[in-house]
Amino acid sequence: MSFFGFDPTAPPAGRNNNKKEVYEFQETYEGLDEADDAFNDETFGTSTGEIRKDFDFGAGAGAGAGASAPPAAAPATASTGSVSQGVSYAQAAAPTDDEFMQDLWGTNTPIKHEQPIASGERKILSLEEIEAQLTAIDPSAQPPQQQQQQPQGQFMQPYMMPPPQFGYMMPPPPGAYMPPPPPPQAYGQMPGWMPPPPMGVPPQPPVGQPVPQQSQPQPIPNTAGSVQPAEESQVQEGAPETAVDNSVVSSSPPKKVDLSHFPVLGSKEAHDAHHQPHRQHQQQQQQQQQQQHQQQHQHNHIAPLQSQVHPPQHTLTPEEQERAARRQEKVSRIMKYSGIMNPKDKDFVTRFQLSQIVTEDPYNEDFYAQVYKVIHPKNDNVQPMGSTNNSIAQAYLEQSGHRLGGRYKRADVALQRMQQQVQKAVTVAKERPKLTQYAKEGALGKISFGTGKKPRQQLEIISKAAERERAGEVKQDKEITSYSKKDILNILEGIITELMNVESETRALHDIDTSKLWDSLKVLEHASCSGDPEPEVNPFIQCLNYNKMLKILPRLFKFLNREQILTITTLIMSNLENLAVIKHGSYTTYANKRVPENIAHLVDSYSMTFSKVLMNAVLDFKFNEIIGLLVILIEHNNVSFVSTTKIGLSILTTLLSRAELIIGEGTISATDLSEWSSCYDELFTSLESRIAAIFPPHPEDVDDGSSRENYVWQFLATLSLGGKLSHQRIIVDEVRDEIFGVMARAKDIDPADVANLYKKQNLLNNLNMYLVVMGLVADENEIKELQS
Amino acid sequence: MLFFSFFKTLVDQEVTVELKNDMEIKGTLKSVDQYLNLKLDNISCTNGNKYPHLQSVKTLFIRGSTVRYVHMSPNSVDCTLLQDASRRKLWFNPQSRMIV
Repeated sequence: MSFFGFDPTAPPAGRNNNKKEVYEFQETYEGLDEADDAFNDETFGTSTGEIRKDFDFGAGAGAGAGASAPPAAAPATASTGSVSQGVSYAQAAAPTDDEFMQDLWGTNTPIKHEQPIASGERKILSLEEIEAQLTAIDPSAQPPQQQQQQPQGQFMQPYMMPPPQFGYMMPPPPGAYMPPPPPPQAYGQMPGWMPPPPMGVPPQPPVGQPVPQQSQPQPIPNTAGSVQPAEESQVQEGAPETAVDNSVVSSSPPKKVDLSHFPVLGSKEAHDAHHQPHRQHQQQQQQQQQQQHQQQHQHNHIAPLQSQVHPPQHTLTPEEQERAARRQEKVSRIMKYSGIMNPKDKDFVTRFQLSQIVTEDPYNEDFYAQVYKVIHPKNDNVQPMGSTNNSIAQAYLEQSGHRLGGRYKRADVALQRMQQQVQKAVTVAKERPKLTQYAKEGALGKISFGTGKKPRQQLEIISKAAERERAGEVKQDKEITSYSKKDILNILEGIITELMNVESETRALHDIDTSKLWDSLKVLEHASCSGDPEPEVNPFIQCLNYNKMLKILPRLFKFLNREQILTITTLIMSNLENLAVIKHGSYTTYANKRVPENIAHLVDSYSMTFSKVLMNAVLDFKFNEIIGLLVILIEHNNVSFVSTTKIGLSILTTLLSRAELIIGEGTISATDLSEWSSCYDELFTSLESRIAAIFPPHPEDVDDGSSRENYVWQFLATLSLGGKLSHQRIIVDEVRDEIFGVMARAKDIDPADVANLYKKQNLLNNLNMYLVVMGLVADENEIKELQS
Repeated sequence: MLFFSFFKTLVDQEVTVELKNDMEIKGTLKSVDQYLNLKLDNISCTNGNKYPHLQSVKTLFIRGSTVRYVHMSPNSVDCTLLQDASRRKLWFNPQSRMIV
């Protein structure tokens, strides 16, 4: 026997189950108690019959009692049917439980029984009322129907087992007033409870009759001792069957009639269990709460429901009823949990959630989202703000990085409340001492407490080696003359770190300190020039061999001043041949005269990043600075080798063209000009007789006509522009074959091949860019003087 | 926080969530929290014939721990920024730094 009828072995029931169990208990309690208990005489010293009378019909109209009894029983059967769904002791235990309590509290028993009776009166009243409603709704058919169904036993019962919420979904017909006593209907919403059988719960309609009817197959024995097992087995047998039936047969006319009873019963119990820790206070509290809740409920629910409920009353065709029932069921399902949380509860939860996410330092901890928002501003206007539901969630996410405030000027009330919540949460969190770790004796690691930011981390492994290394990191500042790949990558990471620091500073401040960034570049740390063994090359130059360095170049140069950029450019000029794109970027070093794939990729990223950065930087340089750069380039590098690489050639083009532009402005002093011409001569001399070599042996690789630019012709154009006529003649002589080669290739493209026609034009345009400098123009057949 | 931060930027984008039970659910990401629980709207099951019970479902809340993959459009990811963000995470959680 289980105490209070609670069965620990019963499966933990879901909400629905619970509710149903709740019903069962009451009903069984009422029914079995008096009807089937053989020892009632002994215990009460009176016959059960009397008690029953009092219970069921006594209070109201003596005459009407007999009439109302059967209908009242009908719902009860239905509910007992639902009882059988849940596999619990409740049903069986209730009566014995009562006995047990009597044994235990011999003196108390009278009190217990008085309570039920007292409230029972009310109960009965309400039931009668409901009866009245029922008959009003469907006076002809339904009560009889029910009664007919009862004999059919468990089969039909599922029909009568609507979700408990149904009842309160059906408001009393306008005429009938529902007396307060029926337990709070609103509490049908309460999540299911598995309450201890409330001793003082007012008895439900007389179940004594229904139960035997229902369990036709198993007549209930008369001895109290055997009641329990029998009942239990019955319940368990019935459970699966009814469950299935219930789900399959979703609605039927009788259902509606029953519905009104259910919520009352079930919700009441749930309510009781929930709110009444002490049985002694039950009555009192119950009444208060009942009234409160009922009022509340009526305010909340009846109004919206009324419209739904009314139609069925007028039109009674089964179809419509069914439809309405289904709709009601739907609504009830939706409404089931509405209002479970009041605004305060919601605030509480929101605060909890937010306090986990809110950070003091959004740009660090929420870096990606914050910066992403800035970089990719969302066009909010596109969305019609119909989805106001989402606005809180949005703000929740967007602001989670912020201290919430100021930003959202037009925040609505809920948002404002949330903001206040968060501020509160943040201050509270700050005041609380932070206990992030807990080292248990003998444990291999520390147990860390999960936070919103690190939800998963359970163990924190303390690595001695790691700590040592971290301590040692600082000391490693000695002179290095050769750099391993790891050193370079470390330096590179350092640069990125500093760059990001500077970038985040710019978000907060206006004047920023870039000296640390400059130091991290290590431009001046270790001088080197072209031809040095690779490990001893200046680290900055070595960094330029890595794609990620190239990617940050544009960002990096934004924070460098003119002098610093000039210094870097000078360093690069003197180390051109140490750059992988130059060192390995010349076709001449490969047997098949082709640049390998990986270098080609690097070359591509150079032209996307480095070349552009350089071009911008050169715009700021003065004339003599450009001359100086060219001189350094010529002195430290093998110009003819550099010119066989794409990047080398484009660097030369950049410098030369800038110089030409400045000369074109006409503000250059004579001394500068003479310096320039000597510089140009020097450059030309180093190139002379090797100019044809700047054309790679596979011209298709360089220019298949698909692009509008050809760095080789660009270079030749720039070179010719700066040279005198003699220079130009030399150049033309050297590249004559290439010129005719391009014309031939252009001619080879079939004019009928429309898709490739543009290539022909591109090839000729690129060639003409060079020829135009000398006043010539070429088509696919011949070279003519440019007509101007 | 990095992943949380990342997924926040995917809100209102279409993603495909692959669960550990092999369901693949496509829908609009509506919300995400620090446990990477996801709320999806307008969902459809890309292998729906295997899971017909999802056909009538419109909105889902997915517990983060049941997610295997989230597929997203490459356009919605800023790789450079993501790299920076991961670096940043490393500095601020030096313990998570792998020391080689």
